[in-house]
Amino acid sequence: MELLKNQKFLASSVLVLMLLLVETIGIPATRLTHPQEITAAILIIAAILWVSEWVSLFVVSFLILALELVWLMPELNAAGISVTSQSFFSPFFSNIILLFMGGFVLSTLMQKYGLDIRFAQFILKQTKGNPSKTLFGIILACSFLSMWISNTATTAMMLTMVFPLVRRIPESHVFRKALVLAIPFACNLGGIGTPIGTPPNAIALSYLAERGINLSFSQWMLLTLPFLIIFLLVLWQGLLRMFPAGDLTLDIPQRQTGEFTLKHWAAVSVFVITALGWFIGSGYGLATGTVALFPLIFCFWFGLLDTNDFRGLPWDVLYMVSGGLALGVALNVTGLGSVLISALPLDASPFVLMGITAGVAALMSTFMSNTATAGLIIPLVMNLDFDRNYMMALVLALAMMCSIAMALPVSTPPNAIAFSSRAINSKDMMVTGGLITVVGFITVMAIGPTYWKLMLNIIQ
Amino acid sequence: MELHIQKCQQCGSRNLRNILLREMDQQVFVQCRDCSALVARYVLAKGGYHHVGKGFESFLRSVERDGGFSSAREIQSDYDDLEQDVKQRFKELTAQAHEKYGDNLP
Repeated sequence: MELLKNQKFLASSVLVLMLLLVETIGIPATRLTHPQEITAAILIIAAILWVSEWVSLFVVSFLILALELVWLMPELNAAGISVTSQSFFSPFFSNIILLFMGGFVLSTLMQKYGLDIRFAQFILKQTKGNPSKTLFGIILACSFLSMWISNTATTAMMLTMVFPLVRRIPESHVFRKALVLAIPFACNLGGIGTPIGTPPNAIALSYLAERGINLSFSQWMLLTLPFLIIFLLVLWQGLLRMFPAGDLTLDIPQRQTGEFTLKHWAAVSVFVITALGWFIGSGYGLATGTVALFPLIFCFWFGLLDTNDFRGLPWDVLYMVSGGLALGVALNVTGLGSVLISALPLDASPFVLMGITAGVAALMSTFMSNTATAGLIIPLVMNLDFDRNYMMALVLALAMMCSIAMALPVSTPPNAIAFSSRAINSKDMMVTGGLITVVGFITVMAIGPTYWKLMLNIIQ
Repeated sequence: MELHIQKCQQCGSRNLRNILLREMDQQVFVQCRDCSALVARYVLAKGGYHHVGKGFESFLRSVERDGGFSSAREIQSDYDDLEQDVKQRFKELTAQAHEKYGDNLP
């Protein structure tokens, strides 16, 4: 019994059982080819391990790759389907992965030189202690920063900045909760705003590129920013109404930031040049990943960052994205994706299908990792027989729902951090986060397809 | 395992102060309170700072310099484990220090 409680043992058992099952009796009651059965097994193993979190999430990505190389590829070749290991390696280093690496370098740069703290402090100072403006300032700072740096790190930084402010408000005052809740929610939402804001965006962009829809950095922002602005305004007004400030006046604390040296200016310059490169680079034939090489090379060449910083990049997040993309390769080459989709009763209109899949994505990412959710769902829906406009709308909607679903403390790391501070209770989080999830879903469904179709016609 | 109780290499005093510096890294400079000499400097590893009594806030100060988490499920338990681990390690090392230095620690 003790062994059954061991998560590593359970994970190993799932793996061995699936291998034995597929190699002995196959997957009963299906007409799948053997490579398709293997792909289904890999998909099930990945889903179980990503949902259960019995092993570290990034390890699952490498397991997917290993199973594809040693189990699936020989079977594909034996079945006469010519496929090389290169096909399975490619998701682990692509334009999108390079873009994300560039994003991580910028993120490290901003944190190392305290640019994030200075920016947040500047915004808060402008609010002059007015509760409504301060709340908006916190939301603005969180969302802007998390468009560029990790949502988790932004949440942690902003909470340490806001806690001294919260402590100066009487304990019985409800506005304390608004200040604390605003941080994780704005950070979750902010990730929507740029391709590097959160890993599900990278997965969405990769699959769209496979379909021939190549969205540039600025095009992604054009497609998602209006939604982000709506969500942030809803968050701001919702929190103000649910946790009114009354006649409170806030005393904005100052955090020591030290001198702004030449290196700090250099860091700001690298950030601005890279962002500009991402905005206008496509006009000069530069892919986003190519632009990302600039901060990567410049920062380490001129010593703004060092080898320890390189070692400290969040490689686990990067490889989780790769795992989601690697699953898609297997679904595609074996044709399992099409088989699964054709087996479902999908007679409904594209709009209804979009609603169902977006709802499922929201539900899944409420309970499990956003990246894992995107990695499981997006490769599957790519097999739907949608036209170009609707496919883009569907993938964007799914990527956004992965970030918008935030009703529980376990929904996202920012939620978990804010909840663990014990400044808010689970009911506060469920009510407010649930409201944002519902409003987000309705907004995406109501405006998304029309707006994205219009934009796609204009930009491409 | 090695265990040392530091003293000032200049005047031999054990009357020391820790100065915590947060800029690009988190660093602790140890200064002698008697002769003001610099005794040692430590660079803290990511997630390595823990201030007793300021538990979660000190944890956040480490997290804000960390890349991020891919999962949300274990943050609370990671923090609880860290707090317990620090207390347990301190209990063990003070016992070992008594073994090495006797009842009255220097």
